[in-house]
Order: sequence, then structure tokens, then C-alpha cells
Amino acid sequence: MSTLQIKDLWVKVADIDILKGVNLTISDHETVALLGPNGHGKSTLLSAIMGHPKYEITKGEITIDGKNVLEMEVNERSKAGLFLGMQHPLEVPGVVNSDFLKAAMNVRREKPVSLVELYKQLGDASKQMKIPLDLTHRHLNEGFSGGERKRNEILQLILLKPTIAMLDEIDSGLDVDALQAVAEAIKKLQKETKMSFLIISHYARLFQMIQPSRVVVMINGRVAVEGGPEIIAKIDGSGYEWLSKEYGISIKKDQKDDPVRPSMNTVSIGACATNEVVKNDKTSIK
Amino acid sequence: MTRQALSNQHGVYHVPFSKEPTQYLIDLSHIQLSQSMVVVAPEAQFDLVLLNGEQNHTIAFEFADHCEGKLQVAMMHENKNLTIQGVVNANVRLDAALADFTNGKGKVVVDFELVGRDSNLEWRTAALSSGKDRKYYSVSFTHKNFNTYANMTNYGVTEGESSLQFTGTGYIINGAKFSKTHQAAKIMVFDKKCLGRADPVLKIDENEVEASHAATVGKVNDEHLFYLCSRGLSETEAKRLITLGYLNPILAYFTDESMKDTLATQISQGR
Repeated sequence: MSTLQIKDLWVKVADIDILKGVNLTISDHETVALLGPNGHGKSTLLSAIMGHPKYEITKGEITIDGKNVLEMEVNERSKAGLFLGMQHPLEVPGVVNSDFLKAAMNVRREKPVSLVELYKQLGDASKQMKIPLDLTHRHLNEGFSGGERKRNEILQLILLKPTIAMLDEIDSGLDVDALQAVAEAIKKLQKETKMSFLIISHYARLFQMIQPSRVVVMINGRVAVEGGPEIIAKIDGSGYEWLSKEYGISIKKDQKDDPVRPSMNTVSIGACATNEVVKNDKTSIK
Repeated sequence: MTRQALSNQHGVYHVPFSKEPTQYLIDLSHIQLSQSMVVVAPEAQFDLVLLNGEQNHTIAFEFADHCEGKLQVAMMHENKNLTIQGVVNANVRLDAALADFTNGKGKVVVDFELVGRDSNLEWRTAALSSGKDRKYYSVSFTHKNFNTYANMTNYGVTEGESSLQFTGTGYIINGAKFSKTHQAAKIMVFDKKCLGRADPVLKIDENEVEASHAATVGKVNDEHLFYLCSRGLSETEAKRLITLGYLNPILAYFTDESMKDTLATQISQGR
């Protein structure tokens, strides 16, 4: 039972404004699809809500049930009911998955989870996500395939039961079976809990499976359009161009992609040598 | 496996021949001398547990030909200076681990000479330095004969205002052909005022050998911290999990359950 409210949110990364006045409310038991072209602030919004230290909030407010999220530490945001399923879940070498899950479950309980209960819940969730149970005894995400990492995110979602689940491209890199398992898990949570979802995806397929109740499109760092599920079909069919015609929004091309993640252009391996060659075409690599 | 205390005369212990590994305890807090010696019989199977005492001490091991076993070193007292010397004869298999999660200022020097051919030595260290600890570990292997193999892995965590330093030395003398010496060191530096340092040294005086070293000293990855905290763990808890990840694997090399528990408690109290 939670309402997440975002008012006039401005977010900067490395001195560049990425979010420019986002207004969005997610109430109880809603499934919101968050769409928009690459580099227009979707992931930034989710990371900023979760409190990633690289995102600087310059203006605006975020509240969950009236409580100021911006004053909370990252772990307090989690305990307040927020969850972020990451686009690129990290390997954390040395940290054992089951120890981590146990610690994460315990922070939101008065009495620590018993071993029997932990393994029952872990077993059930692993089965549901079709993750071999021995994966939970390995180091967190270390040596996991892309699909296993994404499934492990949903496994955490099932175990931690937040009130607002934000999922960042949870379906990218998944094969058909894994996508099915992820969608089934979300549907089950939609049915059995009051959890609300804010889901970023570029593919209509996931949305067809989980039936969002509302669609939000982010363009140029703000919410450009809100509406019903019919928007997904429209975007899936004809891209984002129709928005500029219908709503008169000009979509800035080549807007800085998420600066936290270096794009191919900024990767500098061997760049010096290459630049030299470009600058002086007489130079040849011997 | 039952554990027996080794009897000694004037600080000289004898580990007798045994077909089955027998566990022996050497508790340095029970001897008043500053030096002692352990002689392992040829072809003996052994499992030696060494606990430090409250005083500076030098202990010298001699491993006779074809003996095989474990050496588990656990720091039970605030560590002063401890020197472990070893002479490794031919065809010895030695699997050694040292765990130091106590507080204090001290130096641990490990110095093995592989004098016989075809010997095999594995060494692991796990150390936690916290508060105002000053800890220094020097592990060195000298390969003096054909086809000797030695590998060390030193893991450490430093926090608070403490310091932690590893020096690893692999020395292959001229004539010790086909020897292999490898080392890796990894130190996690948690706080601004603490110091971690790893110095790998390789001295190679022979051509047909293999040698490698790797050393990493670094602070905790902010992205890792964010990931763990985003699941509700406080920064302290997240760091504790990462510390456990660095130090806990050493416990697998300790065979005695009660000692494992003691060490695990030391790790968790360290944070």
C-alpha cells in the first residue's frame, strides 16, 4: 500500500541536466509502463528515485506515502518499500548470494528469518524463476549469465516484497523461457499482492504479457505523454515520430546517453593512437 | 580426527610417522621459550595446528622427504612478532593457511626454503586490520632445487586508522630448473585513514622456470555498495558482507570446527 509521488524533479549527472521537471504519481496496485527513446531519462529517473550517488538532484521532490524520499539513505528507501531491478546487475565478488538475501530479508523483519524458512522461500522462488538452487550459494551474480542475473533480480523482488517495484529493462537479453518466467512472476505478484510496478522496456512483448494499467512516455527529460495501453501498440508500430506530429514535441536526437555508463564513443582504449593517425595521415602504425 | 598435543623437549617437537593424518596442536602460549622447532618425520601424514602466544616467537619446521599434510596457523592472541621458518625437503606436499583477525601491532614473517626437489607448497593468508592496528606480513619462498612449486594467496581487509602490508617474495636460485613460483595479493581498503600496501617481489636466477605475481589494493566499489544498499542493507552491513567475502574463504582450510567458529567470531567482531 504505497503512493510514490514525484514533483518537478530535476536531476543532473556530471553537470548535465538529464531530468528537467518530471511529474509522476504511482498509486497503489498500478502497473505503469515507462517508455521513451534511448537517452531521454528513463533509467536516470529510476536510479535517482533509488538514490544512486552519481545522480544529483537539483530541484523537486520525491515522496512515498508523504515521506520525503530524498532525505533517506539508499537502504532506508529500500525499507520504505522501493525496489530497483537493475538493467545491468553487478557482480559482487566474495559476497555469497544466500548470505546477501538473508541479510536483505532480515532488515525488514523484526525477528531474523530462520534457516528453514529462508530455504523454503529461496527454494520456492528459485523454482518459480527456474534458477538452479546452487546458484544461490554462489557469489552474487559472479559467473551468472545475463539471463540468470535478470532472473536473480526477480528472485530478490519475490523475496523482498517491496510495495513499489521499479524494473529497468528487465526483459533485455532474456530468452523466450526466461521472459515467460519473469512475466509469470510479475503477474503472480500483481494478483497476489498490492505491489505497484514501474517498468521500463523497449519491447511490446513483455507489456502484452503483464498488461500495464497506464503508460508514461518520457521525452527530453520529462513526462511527455500519459495514457492507456493503446500507446504501446502505437509506439511499437510506428516508433516515437508520431508524438512530434500529434503533440508537437520535438524529440532531441543524440541526447547524451546515461553518462554513468560510458557509451562506445567515450571508451578510450587505443584512442590516442587512433587520433594520432587521424590527425596526421602520414603517420602509420609500424 | 582427534587432536593431540605434541610433547616437546626444550622446545623441540617431533611429528612421528603416521599413515593416517593425525592432528597435532602446538600452542605457543604454553611455552616460555622464544624459539621452538618442529621436525616432521619422513612420509608422515600430518595436520598441524599452530596457535600463537603472547610473546614474540620463532618457530622452525623441518619437513622430511615425502611427508604430506596441512599447517593451520591461527592467531589467538594480540599478535606480537611471529616468525615461521620452514625447510622443505624432497617430494613434500604442504598445504598451509594463516588467519589473523586479532588486534594489535605485529609482524608475521614466513620464510620457506624448498631445498628438496619436486616439492609442492600452497600458502594462504587472510588478515583483518582494524582500529589502530599495524600489521605486516612477509611471506617468502626460496626455490633451491629442481621442479619445486610454491603458490601464495594473501587476502586482507584494512579499516579505521589501521595499516596492512603484504610483502611476497618468490626467489628461484640458479640451478632450480623447472620451478614454479606464483603469488597473488588483494587488499580491501575501507576507510580514508587506513593504509593498504602490497609489495610483490620476484627474484629469478634461472631460465627454465615459471613465475607470476598479481597485486590489487583498492577501496570498495561504490556501485557494489549501491547494489547491496538498494536491497536494504546499511553501509555497515554491506561492508561487513564484503569483508566476510574477503576473509571467510580461509575458513575452508581449517579442519577443526571449534577453531573455525572462533575465527568466524573474530571476523564478525572485527567489523
